[in-house]
Amino acid sequence: MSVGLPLYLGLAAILFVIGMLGILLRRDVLVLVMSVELMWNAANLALVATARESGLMGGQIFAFVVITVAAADVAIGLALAVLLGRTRGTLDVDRLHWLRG
Amino acid sequence: MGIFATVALAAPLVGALLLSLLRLPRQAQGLTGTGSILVAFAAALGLALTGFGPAPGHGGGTDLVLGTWAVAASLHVPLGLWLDGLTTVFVLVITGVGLLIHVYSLAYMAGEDRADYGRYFAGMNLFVGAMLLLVLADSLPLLAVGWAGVGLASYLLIGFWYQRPAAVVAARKAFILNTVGDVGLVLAIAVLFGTTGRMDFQHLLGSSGRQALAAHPGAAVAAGLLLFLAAAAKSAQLPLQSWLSDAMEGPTPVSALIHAATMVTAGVYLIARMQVVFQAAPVAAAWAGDLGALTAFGAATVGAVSYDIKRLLAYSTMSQIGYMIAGVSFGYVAAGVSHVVTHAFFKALLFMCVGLVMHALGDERDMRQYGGLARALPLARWGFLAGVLALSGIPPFAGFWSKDAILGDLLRGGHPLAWVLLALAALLTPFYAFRAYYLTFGGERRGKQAVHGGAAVSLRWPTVVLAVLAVVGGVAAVALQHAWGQGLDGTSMVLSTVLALVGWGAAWGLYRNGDAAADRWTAGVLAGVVRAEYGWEGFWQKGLVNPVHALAAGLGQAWEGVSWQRAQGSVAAVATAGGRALGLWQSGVVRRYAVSMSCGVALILIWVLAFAH
Amino acid sequence: MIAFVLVGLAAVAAAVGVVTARSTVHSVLWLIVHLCSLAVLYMTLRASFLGLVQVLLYAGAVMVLFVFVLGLLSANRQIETVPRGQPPAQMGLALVAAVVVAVVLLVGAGAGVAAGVAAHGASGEVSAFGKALFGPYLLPFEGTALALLTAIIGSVALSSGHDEAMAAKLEGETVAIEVSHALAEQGAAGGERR
Repeated sequence: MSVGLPLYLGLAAILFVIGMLGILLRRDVLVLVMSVELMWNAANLALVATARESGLMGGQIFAFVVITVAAADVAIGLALAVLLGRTRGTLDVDRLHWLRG
Repeated sequence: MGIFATVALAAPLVGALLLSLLRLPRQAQGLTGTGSILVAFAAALGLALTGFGPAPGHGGGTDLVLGTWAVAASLHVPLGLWLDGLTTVFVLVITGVGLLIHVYSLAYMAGEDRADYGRYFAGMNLFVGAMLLLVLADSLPLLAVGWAGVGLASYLLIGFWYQRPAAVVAARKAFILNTVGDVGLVLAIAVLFGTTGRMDFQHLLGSSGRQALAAHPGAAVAAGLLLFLAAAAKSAQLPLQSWLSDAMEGPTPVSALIHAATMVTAGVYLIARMQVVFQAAPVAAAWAGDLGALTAFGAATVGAVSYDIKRLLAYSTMSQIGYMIAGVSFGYVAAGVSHVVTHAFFKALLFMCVGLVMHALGDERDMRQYGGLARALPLARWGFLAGVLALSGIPPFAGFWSKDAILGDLLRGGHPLAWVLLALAALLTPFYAFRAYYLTFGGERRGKQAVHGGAAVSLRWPTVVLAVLAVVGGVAAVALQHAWGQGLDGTSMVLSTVLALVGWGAAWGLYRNGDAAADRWTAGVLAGVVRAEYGWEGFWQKGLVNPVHALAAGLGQAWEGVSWQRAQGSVAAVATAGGRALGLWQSGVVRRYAVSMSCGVALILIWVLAFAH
Repeated sequence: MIAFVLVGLAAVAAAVGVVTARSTVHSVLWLIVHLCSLAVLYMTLRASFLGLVQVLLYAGAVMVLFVFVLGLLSANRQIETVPRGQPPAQMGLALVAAVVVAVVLLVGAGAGVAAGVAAHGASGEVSAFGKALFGPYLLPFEGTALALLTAIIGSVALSSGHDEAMAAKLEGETVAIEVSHALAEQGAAGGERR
């Protein structure tokens, strides 16, 4: 039997919140980037499920665009992480607080 | 028909683009600049032959939609061209006279170096292109684009010799006064949109726009007065006239273009195009028409005492445009527009002849330094004479037919104030025109400069063509009036002829010897006041500029006078405390930011779930 | 249905693994599992092309990048324990926010039923996707190319050369900022004294 939209959206919600918790609780920049990926993917799942439901291609295309943007995001995020690791010697966001106002 | 209009519009704009972007050699610059106008003129001829278009004022016309500019709720602005008889006439005049002026410029501006030569033709092409956009636009916003483009091009060209302070000041003055008019135009568009809900001519000029305006007479009057304000700035009418005489700081062909083909006729076009407003608002029409007539008379008096021949021609333009504005404002579109046509012929001719004289005399503009040039400059002399005869309204020269049509219409239509003013102007016009002619070409040489006779080919033949048109161009005027349903009026023709001949006679009596001594009366106090435009500049200076300066100085002193020390201290304290409080938020700890953001997201989601259904 | 439950549980478990793993390498491995299970879910949603892209591009290329960066940085990394040194108020707020978001999203997902969205067949075939991508959505597609180009340029600019200079510059900035903070605190204290 086919699975309804609410289940997919519910799964997406759970995954999104897990990613969010990762960002809120972890301090390693790399884990933060991965948690962001979790959130991207949760949103993607919702998009694809809605696309199936509505019969429109837009959702899939948007998910595709999100994958691309996420890839770009990872590239920049990791470059920043490398830079931080080299210049600061740490990837702990709690110690990277020189943005203090 | 559509393709011709599109080509006519595109050619000068493309030319301007090429000239401003590419570093072309001199010949190529002249070729591009003139060639684009030639293409435009050929397209204009094609447009006229394939479909001249219906007479204006009845809402008839073809909307050549090229696309959509803007759509927002009920606002729909098309991007297209509006083709009717009025547009066709203007396109023909702009490209035709514009072409002759471009050809004339080829040799006239030959003294400039390569970069300036290209800049000049780029500006001229932009000028023609913007003017064509103005008359071809099918909606008010698009018209406003052309309107502003004309203002920009005039600024660039009046200030062409930007090393001369006077030219820069004149350009700035023209631009500022034109901006006042632009504001009027934009406000008029807003009022019309608010009243009729449309901005495109298809609806605005049609029955729906007519009904909406008839239902809101107050809005119609407001729109009419605002449109007149716009037209007054562009066409140098009271109260925004004073930029035109200063605009003589630009090169003479630029003056010819401004006065004959572009710019000043834009106001006439606007009023002729928006007849629907002026028909619904007789009060606005009366104000516009009477102010136009007053300008015609006032400018003619100033022209009568001017020494600078280019300023004299500028006042003459103001005066003649006053005729047109009076004509079209009162609804006599055929008469007013036919005067645009004939005026374009003879005014361009007069400027070209003055250009020849100035070229021969090292850019001397003071008529007191002229005299006795008839033999040295035969082409300029005969051309100027033809232009003067046409300007004066001596039958059967071109100006007579159109000027008389305006006077006759006003007389029959019962507009006594405008008619009296215009009749007085018609009396003065031949006087100042022939005064200029006799002082320049008659009598003996007064100045000391050497006369360099002989003009280049490209200076000669446009002058000759325009001279012919100034003599026989009345045919075009009469044909146009006939096509738009207006006949000739014998009584008025006799009256106009008498007025013109009396004015000529007065000039002949005083100046026929070309003797500067006869001009002594212009040295009087009264004439001096008149020459200073009745102190109009001073009025602006004292009435507007000085008070604003005084206000600014006073406010500045008051501001400085207050003891700001304490206030500054408290302001700083507030800012510091606030900054410190907000600074707590800016911990620099990424996770704290993340928590803030998550709380925000949570709140937004709650709001969405609870209220946004 | 069974497939959905199994794969969905796997995805959730893997996501929890990503967030909770002590070692970053383990996090990366869990993330790969997570991405692959999502790819399977995409397949069940008739988005086979997206599923393939997910495996190839995401679980493949992007994750390799992660592992690579881990290798680069492993020299001077400290293992971090979860969750440590977080003020309790902040921690509580974070959890509350997460719970609220979860509840609202789940309620919203349930509301999809209430709204009665009709399920009807959609062709998730690759050809339909391709036609849409190169048809009406061509411009966004080209836009992604631009985004990727920007990312490439950005990462090259960030990580290329000048390490020493960059380090010195960043260090200098930090020092300057710390000095300015110290000065500001001093000034504030002085102001209060006055």
